[in-house]
Amino acid sequence: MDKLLRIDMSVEGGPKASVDEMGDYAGLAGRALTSAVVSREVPPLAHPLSEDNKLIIAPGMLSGTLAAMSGRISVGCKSPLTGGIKEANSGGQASQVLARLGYAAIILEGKPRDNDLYRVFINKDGVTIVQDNSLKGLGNYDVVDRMKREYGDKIACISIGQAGEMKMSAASVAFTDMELRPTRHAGRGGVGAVMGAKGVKVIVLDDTGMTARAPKDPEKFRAANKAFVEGLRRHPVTGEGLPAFGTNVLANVINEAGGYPTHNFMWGRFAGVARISGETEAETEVARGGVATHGCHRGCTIQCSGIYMDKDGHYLTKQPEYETVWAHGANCGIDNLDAIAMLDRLDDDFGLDTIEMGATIGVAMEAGLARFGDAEAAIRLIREVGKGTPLGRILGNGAAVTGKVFGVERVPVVKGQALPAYDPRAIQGMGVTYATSTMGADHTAGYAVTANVLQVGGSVDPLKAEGQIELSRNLQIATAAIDSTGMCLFIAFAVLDQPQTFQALLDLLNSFYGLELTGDDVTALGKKILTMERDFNQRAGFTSKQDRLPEFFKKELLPPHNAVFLVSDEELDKVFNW
Amino acid sequence: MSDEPSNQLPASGSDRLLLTVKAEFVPFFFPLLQKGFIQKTEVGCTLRELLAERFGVSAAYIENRIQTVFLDGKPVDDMDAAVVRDGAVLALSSAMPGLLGAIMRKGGYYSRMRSPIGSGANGDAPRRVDGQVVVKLFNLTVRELGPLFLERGIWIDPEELKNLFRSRPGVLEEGCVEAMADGRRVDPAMLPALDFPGGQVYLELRTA
Repeated sequence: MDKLLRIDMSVEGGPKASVDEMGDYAGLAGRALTSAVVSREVPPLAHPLSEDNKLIIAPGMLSGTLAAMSGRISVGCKSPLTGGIKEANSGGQASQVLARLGYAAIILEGKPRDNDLYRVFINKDGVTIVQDNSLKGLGNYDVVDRMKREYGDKIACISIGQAGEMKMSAASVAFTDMELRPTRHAGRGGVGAVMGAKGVKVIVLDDTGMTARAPKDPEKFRAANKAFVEGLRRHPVTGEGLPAFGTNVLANVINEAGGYPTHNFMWGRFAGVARISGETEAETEVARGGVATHGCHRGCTIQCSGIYMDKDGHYLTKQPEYETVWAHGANCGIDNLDAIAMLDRLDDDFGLDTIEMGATIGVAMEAGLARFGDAEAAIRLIREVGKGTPLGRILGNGAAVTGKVFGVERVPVVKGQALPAYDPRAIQGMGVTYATSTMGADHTAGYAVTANVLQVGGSVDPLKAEGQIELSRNLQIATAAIDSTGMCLFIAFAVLDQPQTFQALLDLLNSFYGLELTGDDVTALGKKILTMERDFNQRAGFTSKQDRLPEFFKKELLPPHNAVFLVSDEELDKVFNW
Repeated sequence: MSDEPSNQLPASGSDRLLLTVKAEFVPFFFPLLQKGFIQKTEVGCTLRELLAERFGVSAAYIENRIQTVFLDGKPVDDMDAAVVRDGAVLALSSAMPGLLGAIMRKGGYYSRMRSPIGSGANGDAPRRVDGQVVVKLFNLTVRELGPLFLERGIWIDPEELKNLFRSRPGVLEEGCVEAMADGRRVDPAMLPALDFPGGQVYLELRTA
C-alpha cells in the first residue's frame, strides 16, 4: 500500500491511469489521506461536479492485513451536498482488496469530455479502463451482476446507481459485501454524484495472486490481533448485543429516552417503535430463514449485520441498520419493517444515502406530498428518484433542497446535510457534534468514545457548561484518527471499557508499521485531520454561521421531555479551540 | 427470579391465559416484552429493591448485566436513589452500542451529554403500597429475563396479544402444546379468534 493510482478522466483520447509515489502523503491512509488530498489538491472554490474536484477512495492503515475489523474504506471529495470537505466511509470487501493490490488510494481526477461512462478494472497486472455505455441507467445490483458475468465472482466492486449518474447530492458510492451484493455504501455528502461527474460507473477490483499485507513484526502483530479479538468478544456490546440484534437495537432505548426523531423531528417518541426495533428485526430475519448475525466484510468479528428476507423467504436486502430503519421508519411515521427493507433495497440499488433520503421523505411528508405513515407513498417517492422525474430530481438532492422547493420551515440539516437518528434536544452533546462537524450533521463524526482512555484534552468537568463542548471536541478528534485506521468504529466501545483492548489496537499499528505510537500520537493525528478539514472549509467560504443547528431546535419543544437545544453559539465556537 | 410474590394472580373474573409451549417457541412472545407489560407488586421502593426483592433478579445481573435503565423515560444512574412509584414505567437493557449507548449507560462517563433530560434520584421515597409497574425489556434482557417474566406471568393489553397471535398465523399450532383460557382448554389454533372481554389479560407461559 505504497502507491497512489491516479486516473485522469480528462485526457484526450480517453482516461489515463498513472501510478504515483506517496510523496508527502506517506504514512497517511483512510480519512487522513482523503482529507489531505482534498485539502491540498482541490481548489476550495471549485464546483463539486467540475473537473477540478477529485474523488479519493482510500483503504485504512490496517486494511489488507489480517487485523480483525480493518475493512473500512474512506471516500473523500468536495461535497456537492455541503459545499465543504467530505469523507464518507463504508464497509464491504473493497478496502481489503484494494490494499492487497498495493494501492493507498484511487484518485479520480478531471472530467470526461463527453457523456460516456467508463468501467475500471484493477488487478495485479495493472489497470484497464473501458468505455461502457451499456451500463447507463443501471442500478447497482444490475451493474454488479454484469461485472460478475464479465470478471467472475472473485472480485469486489465500487459502483454508482442511477442517482450518481444523475449527479444527485444524495448519491452514494456502493461497495460489494462478502456475497458480492452492493449493500455497503459511502452514503453521506453526495460522493456518488462526484463519481458520476467523473464518468466512472464501476471500479472492479481483483486481488487474485496477491496476499495479505505483511507486518514488520509478525509475532507481535499476531499477539496483538489475538488480544484485540478477545477484547471485542469479551465486551457485552461488541461480543453480544451487536451480534444478536445489530445497530437497530438502539431504537427502543433512544425512543425511551425521548430522543427518537419522529414525524420529521416533531416528537421524540414513536408509538410503533416495537414493530421496527432491532429485537423485532432479528426475530423476523431468523423466522424467515434470513440471518441476524453477519459481517459486512471478511475479518469482521462483531457481525452486526444480517440478511433480510421478504415474506416468501427470498432475499430482499441486507439487514437495514439503525439509521436506515429510523430514517425511513419513525421519521416518516412508518412502522412496517417490510416497507422499510424495500426502501433500503431501493436506496442501495439507485445508490442513495438512506439517512438523507429518509429525512427528505420526512420533509416531503410535512410539505403534504404524502401522508406520514404512508409506506406505499414513500416507496413511490423513492422510485421517482430512481427514474429521475422532475420530482425525483428534487428529492434526490436532499432534505435542504426539498424543504426549500416546497416551503418547509422544519428542515433538519446542518451545512445542507440531514441529521441522523438522535434528536439534539434530548442529547445535547450530540447536537454540538452535529453543529460543528466539518462534515455537516454526522453522528459518526464524534463517535469514538476514547476521552477517558486517551485523556484527550485533559480531564473534563462534567458540571461546567463547557463540558459538552470538550466532550464533543475530544470525540471528534478520536473519531478522525480511527477513521484513518480502517477500523470499524464499533470497536470503540470495547476500547472504552477495556484499556487493554485499546493497547491491543495500538500494538496492531505499531507491530505492523514498526512504530511506537502512543495515545498522544493518535490524538495529534486526529487534530491534524480536523485542522486540515476546517482549513479547507474556511477557504471554501464557511464561517461560524455554518456551525449551527437549525433554529427550530432552539425554539420548538420536543415531547416528551419538552427540551430545546441549549448550547449557546459562543460555546459552539469554542469546539475547535485547542 | 423467585416465584414470589403471589399478588400477581388476577382478580376473579379476569381473563387468564395459560399456555404450554415448546421451549423454542418462547421467543414468539418477546415482542410483547419490548412494548411493555404490567407487573402488580409492592411499589414505593428503590429500583434496586424492586428488581432484587420483588422481581427476584440476582444482584450480579442487576450490577453487571443491566447497563441501561429508564424510569419514566429518564435514564437512571443510581439504582439506590431512584424510587419506583405506582404506575411507573421501567425499561431495562443490557449494554447498548454506539455513542448513544455510552451516553445512556447508567453512571457512564458520557452520561453528561444527555442533559437536560436528567436522571438519577426522583424525590423522597413514598409510602410502600401495592401498585403496578409497566416493564419493558430491551436488547439481551428480552432473551435473558423475558422467559422468567413470562413464566411468572404478565398483564397485557388484550389487543396487543391478539395482534401477536394474528401476526404469524399457523405457527401457534406448531409451537403451542396446550392452551387454557380461564381454566378451560382451548385449541391453540383458535387463539387468534379468542375474545378477552376484560381490560387486561394475565398471560402465563409454561414450557413443555
